[in-house]
Amino acid sequence: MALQLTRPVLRSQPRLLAAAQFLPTLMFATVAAALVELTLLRLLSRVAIHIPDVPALRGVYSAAVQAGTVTFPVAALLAAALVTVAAMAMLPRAPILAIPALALLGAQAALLVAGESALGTAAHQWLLAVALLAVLFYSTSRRMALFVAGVGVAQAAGLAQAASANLAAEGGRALPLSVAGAGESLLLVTLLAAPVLVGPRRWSRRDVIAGGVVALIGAGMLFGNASTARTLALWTFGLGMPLPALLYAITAGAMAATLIALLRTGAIERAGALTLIVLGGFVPPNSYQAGLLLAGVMLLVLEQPRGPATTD
Amino acid sequence: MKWSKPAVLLVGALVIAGALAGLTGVRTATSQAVTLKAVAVADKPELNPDWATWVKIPSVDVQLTNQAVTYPKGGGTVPAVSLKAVHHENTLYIRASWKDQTENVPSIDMAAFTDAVALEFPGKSAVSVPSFCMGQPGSGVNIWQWKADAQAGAGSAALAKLYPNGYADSSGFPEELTKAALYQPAFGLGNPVARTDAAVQTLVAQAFGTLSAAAAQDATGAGMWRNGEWSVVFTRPFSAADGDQAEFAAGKNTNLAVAVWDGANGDRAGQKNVSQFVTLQLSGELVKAKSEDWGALWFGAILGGVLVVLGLAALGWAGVAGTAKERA
Repeated sequence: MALQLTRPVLRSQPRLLAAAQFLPTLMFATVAAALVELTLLRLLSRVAIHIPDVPALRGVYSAAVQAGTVTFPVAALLAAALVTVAAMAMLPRAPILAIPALALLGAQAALLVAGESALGTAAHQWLLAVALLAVLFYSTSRRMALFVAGVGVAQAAGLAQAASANLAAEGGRALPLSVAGAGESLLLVTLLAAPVLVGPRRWSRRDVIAGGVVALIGAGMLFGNASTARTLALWTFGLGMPLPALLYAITAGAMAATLIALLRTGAIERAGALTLIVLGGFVPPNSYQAGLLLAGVMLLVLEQPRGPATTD
Repeated sequence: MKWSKPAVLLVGALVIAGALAGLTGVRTATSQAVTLKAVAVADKPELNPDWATWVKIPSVDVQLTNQAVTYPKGGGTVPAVSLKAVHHENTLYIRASWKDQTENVPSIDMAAFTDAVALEFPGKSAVSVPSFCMGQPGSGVNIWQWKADAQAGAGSAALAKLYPNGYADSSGFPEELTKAALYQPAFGLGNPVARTDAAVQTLVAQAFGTLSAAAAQDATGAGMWRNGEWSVVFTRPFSAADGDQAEFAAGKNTNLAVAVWDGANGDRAGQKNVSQFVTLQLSGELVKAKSEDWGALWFGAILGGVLVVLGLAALGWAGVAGTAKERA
């Protein structure tokens, strides 16, 4: 049985259905802004020490980092808007499934106004886990449901550990870091299976070669300058890397091949959704990346045709 | 990909609003990092890692990684540090503890390096949250560094311990002269590195290569090594002596990062174990005993999550079943 456990479209809510027309433009803008922010702020500013101390280069570097600093709030607002519109697009068919996402946005707004607190952050992490798991029930195909379940359960494990660490500030006991390690391992396996679960039916040799090149570059970075690559993986994508480095390089190659194949076959929405999931990282360290992750997962299931349930 | 005009207008408005927020420093996202909560205590804390009340204070584990951004790179032997924090009469106390099987104190031998720990906060005058890698121009950081060798004192006793068979064939200068600034210029000029009466240095920085002693050395601390674990307590009044240093207030949040040096691993300078910023929440509430009911709370939270997901599934299934019935 497929996991189409959602309500039928309600014809009395045309305004909510109209929200879907905003999705492609918002998604493209969010992906673009997040990629710029990732390149300038989360990567370039962290390897600045490797830039030669030449005034012209330093000037370019400073300008680039400043541009990244301005891009960050742009991407954060776009991500929040994308989650809002995706939830509204989900409302007519599955109002219950959209509620956790809307509640998460409310929690983000409350944290912005009231400031971070241990309990507030733990609540936000719990809501994100529930919202990710709820999206699973919107999936129409078994393969898509498997992918969304893998991402959702993996993130939920990591988020539970992170939330417990925050609750420890109130006197609780933190879950062991191995729980997050297990979640990261499951996420890696899920992303490794992305070509089969969310990739196109037809592949070209160029897709595979491109994925292989990315895997080789990743392996070169992880084995050539392991400390920098591992630090960037942790700080940028939240990956503690408990598994062998080679597996991470192969996963990067599999994801790259999937994205390129999707773009080649014209499945731009699905490629954009997958990119957002990657940019969100594992156990997002801030509400902005949480928005990217949730938006990516929601778009992945919204992108599917809403016909009768399929089992692939 | 279909682009509608209203969608393009919405994106344009969001880009402008975001850019304005970026230029004016308005926050659009919140940190999801671990939060260290500093509660108020009625009794004045002692500058002692064994102070009885620390047992009642919840601890937060902060992950560390090797420092890999600037030379000398390295570290990686200390995976985590445990933090506790309290405040009393506008003074902050933070206790850091971490596993370290070897106690490395003296560093006067060329090949020996001392164990140390440092806390980093955004400076009071920082216009935005600084980079935890020593800050950046305009957004500096304030660092309190405790060193085991500074606490022990690097005087003749340490020398005698290092070279037990050493022999001095000259008595040198009279003692009253050796204490004079003329013969100890660094000490005489107030160079904090030459101080032998302080285990903690107060430092400020606004980027790599700008680390220097703060104008006021007002952070203090004390550490203890026992059974393969270091425990160090830092303290400083809330109010900063100058704009480069951190400022604290009950009811307000700031950020905190930690660095740990493992002397046995040859850690020194940039070769260390570092964390990213965590949130430091200065709560106004008084300390209470640790709750023992968190197991039940966790069970309730997990059960609640499962029930929510099952409820969603049931409601969704009912919708599908209803549709099938209508079709039939």
